[in-house]
Amino acid sequence: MWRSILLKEWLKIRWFLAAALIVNLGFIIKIFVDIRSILSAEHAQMVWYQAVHLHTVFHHDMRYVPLLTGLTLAAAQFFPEILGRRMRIALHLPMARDGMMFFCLAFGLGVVGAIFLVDALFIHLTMRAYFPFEVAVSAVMTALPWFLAGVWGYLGAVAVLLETAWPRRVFFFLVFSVLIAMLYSGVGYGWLTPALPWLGALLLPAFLCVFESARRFQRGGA
Amino acid sequence: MLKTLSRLSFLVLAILAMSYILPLSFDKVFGKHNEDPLLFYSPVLHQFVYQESLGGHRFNYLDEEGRSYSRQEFEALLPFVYSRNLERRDLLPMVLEGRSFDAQSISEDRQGLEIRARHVRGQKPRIQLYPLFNNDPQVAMMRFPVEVFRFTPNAMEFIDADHNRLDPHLTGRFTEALKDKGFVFPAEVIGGRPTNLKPFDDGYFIGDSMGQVFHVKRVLNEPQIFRLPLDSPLDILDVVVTEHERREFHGVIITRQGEVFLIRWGDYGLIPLPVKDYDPRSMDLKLLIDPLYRTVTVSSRGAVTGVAMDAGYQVIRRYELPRREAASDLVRHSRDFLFPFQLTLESPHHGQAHVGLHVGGPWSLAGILLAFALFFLLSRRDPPFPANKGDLAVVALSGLLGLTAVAFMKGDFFPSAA
Amino acid sequence: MKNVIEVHNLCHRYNGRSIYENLNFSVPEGSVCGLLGKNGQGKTTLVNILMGFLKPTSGTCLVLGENSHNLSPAVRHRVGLLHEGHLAYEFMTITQTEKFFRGCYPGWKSEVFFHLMDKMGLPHNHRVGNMSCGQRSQVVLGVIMAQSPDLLILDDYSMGLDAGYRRLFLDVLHDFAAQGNKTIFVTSHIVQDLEQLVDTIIFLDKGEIMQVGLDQFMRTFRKYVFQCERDASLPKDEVIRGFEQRGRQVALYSYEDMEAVDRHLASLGIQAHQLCRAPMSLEDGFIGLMGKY
Repeated sequence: MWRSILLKEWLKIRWFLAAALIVNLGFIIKIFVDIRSILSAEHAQMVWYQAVHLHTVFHHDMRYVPLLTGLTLAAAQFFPEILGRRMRIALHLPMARDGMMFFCLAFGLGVVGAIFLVDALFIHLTMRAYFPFEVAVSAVMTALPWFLAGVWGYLGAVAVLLETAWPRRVFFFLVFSVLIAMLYSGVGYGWLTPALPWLGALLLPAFLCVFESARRFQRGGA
Repeated sequence: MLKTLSRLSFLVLAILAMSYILPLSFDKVFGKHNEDPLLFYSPVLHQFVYQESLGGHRFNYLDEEGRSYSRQEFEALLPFVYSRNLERRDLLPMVLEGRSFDAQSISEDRQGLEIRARHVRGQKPRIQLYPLFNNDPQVAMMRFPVEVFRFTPNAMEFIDADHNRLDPHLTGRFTEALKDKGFVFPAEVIGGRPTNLKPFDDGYFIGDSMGQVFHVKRVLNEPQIFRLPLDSPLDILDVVVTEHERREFHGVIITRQGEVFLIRWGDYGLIPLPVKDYDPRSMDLKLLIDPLYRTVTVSSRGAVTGVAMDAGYQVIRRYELPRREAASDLVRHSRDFLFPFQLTLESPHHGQAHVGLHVGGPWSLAGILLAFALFFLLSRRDPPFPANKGDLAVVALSGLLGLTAVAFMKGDFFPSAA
Repeated sequence: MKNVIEVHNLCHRYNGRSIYENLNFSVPEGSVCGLLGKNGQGKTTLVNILMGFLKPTSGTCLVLGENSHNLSPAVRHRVGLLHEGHLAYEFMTITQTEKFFRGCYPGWKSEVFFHLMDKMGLPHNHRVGNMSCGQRSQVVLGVIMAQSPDLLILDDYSMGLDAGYRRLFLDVLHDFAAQGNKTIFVTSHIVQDLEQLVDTIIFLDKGEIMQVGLDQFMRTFRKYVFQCERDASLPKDEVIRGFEQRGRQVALYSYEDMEAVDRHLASLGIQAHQLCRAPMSLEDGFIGLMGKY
């Protein structure tokens, strides 16, 4: 039965996943090319100085890409389900609603997480090619809140899409927007690192609250 | 179980988001901007005077007794601070304590130093890679070295930026030299100014794992290392290097206990600054040196404390200026009333995110009571807004914020319309 | 005989407006029950409650013994739903649809599904989203038939279908009902079709329910026609349950026999020329009983 759900989710997102991967990798290539051209124009030690002591974040351009990725995949997965309240089909399948939601979310989060893992890996490799280890690690740490924003965006979009009452939908949107905006505060590298455990821990309630949205969706009238 | 958890989860998120954004917006609208008063020791009055911001570029100029001064009078009380203005007003040279000072002599013997909590080690992100400038008496220009150094558990490594790889030669030379001088790896703290926008290079002051401090310089590409003659190991929080033309001291050592020492030029002796109850992680420290006096001020949450010293760092006068609330009572009470607590990410003492939860005062209780009353009022509505224990607890803990969140989560409060 | 659907004291309000109060009815196992009601009488709401996508304000609604808004997976397994508009996963092809549902229903009958699909003559890699409404309805029908449910709930299956596809539906549903112990609960805006399918009718009007066997209804409810000189504005009462006038031709609906109707018309001062009983279709009966609007 879970394989069927997997099939359904896969069919919905595959083209969007491909597009997301292309955009993500495109940005990483852009960053790679940018850094290379900066290094050819300036002395390496000055570029290092900018990275380490002036807090220049060379992969700054891609900070909204993970958020966009999360939102896109959530929409790809759940927009077809809310059109005509099509998720009623899935909700009637002989499986527990919460279990099915868990599986759908786990699938979506797994895909989003995998993309971010690829991002993180390539950011690290790109930075490592031109900078000392510390800078590469810091670059990944700096990108972590962006990835977190992607996951938050994914969960928030799912919750907002599943809500049936407009006032609540708007409220959900605002709440998640504020939480996501928090992940973009600060300047330079590693600004949010001390808050990451807290912001990361909030993923659990964000994950859990989607189940109520799904329950309300089921009971939400025609 | 999941239903309750799931519902509660959103309430928690909503309340956290509101307790973050709403007080921030409130402050933006009602302006709770608290600028530090500037505290100086006046060599004319021989007491402290200060400038207090009233907001909107308006200031009060006062002395310890609360006497008020005009801006010009105030500047005249602080000839060393406002020497340029006094010179323009033809008030220089002036004679103080039997010595005559003109603009030139004042500027040559002035030095300012500020150590803000948000810049102290551990309060902001720092990648521990530093350029070690090469001191060559033949070359006037300070050229950025191609290598940066880092400390590993057992070496001082140099990495070549051109090739992004270890420079074994420099690494070996400096590591051996440090070991020869008794340096015990790893390094605890590294203090220096990784910039070439400075009059000269004074290298780095590096604390080792035993609480010893070493002055490390690179002269003609060779290590020049000096171990500071400390009486006892120091529990160092941070070292700030000054590289100031006066060359009175190399820099400042701050310990975790809040002691502050200047590292004297020449013999590397430590000059303790007479600060009391200084917490470098939450207070800003300023040292102001003029031809006659040294003033150290410490800004804490509740007050700005000043200590005036003579040129030999002996205390002459202490003064504590309590801080005034910038916002009016009405604004502060309304704020507490609306928001029983505030979630913050930014802190004035951190150069990076610092999660904080600030609980309101007694007015918050009034806000919670109002929320309770509204809650019961709403529960009599039709369609009903059923009261359950969990929601009551949420409202009890978070007042009007919680009530707002609960209202949006009520099943029948907003009829579903698909 | 046990009941597959049992509704007790069902009340539902929407935006503070009462849709119905104290609704009671049941559908016994093996019956084919049609829900009839004019637009806006809460038909879709009732179907949504039965399907488990709306929680009633109060009262109980049991489907195969469980609360409809909280059906266990085991019971859902035994219920086939056809949503209004033939809801299907448009992003799937025929093959993918089959694969998807096969994995969800252990007793899935692939041959039933493909038998229906092959009638359409579409390649199996055809996407549901690119199909006509009729073709899509066949896919949905194939899906619920292959599930082999014990109870079918069909919400306006005829919506958007031409006569051919509607006939196809009737054929398939007829065969399904003939298997015995299978229950069908159906609504349709094409009342005429139901006449060929259902054995029980539930009329839903102004929050009230009337449940009756099809045969009994067709036997006891009668249509009379007569000619009338002028505009005959007839009252609705115990005898005259409804009437239609087209020119001088009046159709009158009643549970009474012709004699009683004739007397009643005379007492109302209406001259009914050529009063006679006319053959009545279910649609006639529906209009006669519920009115046109």
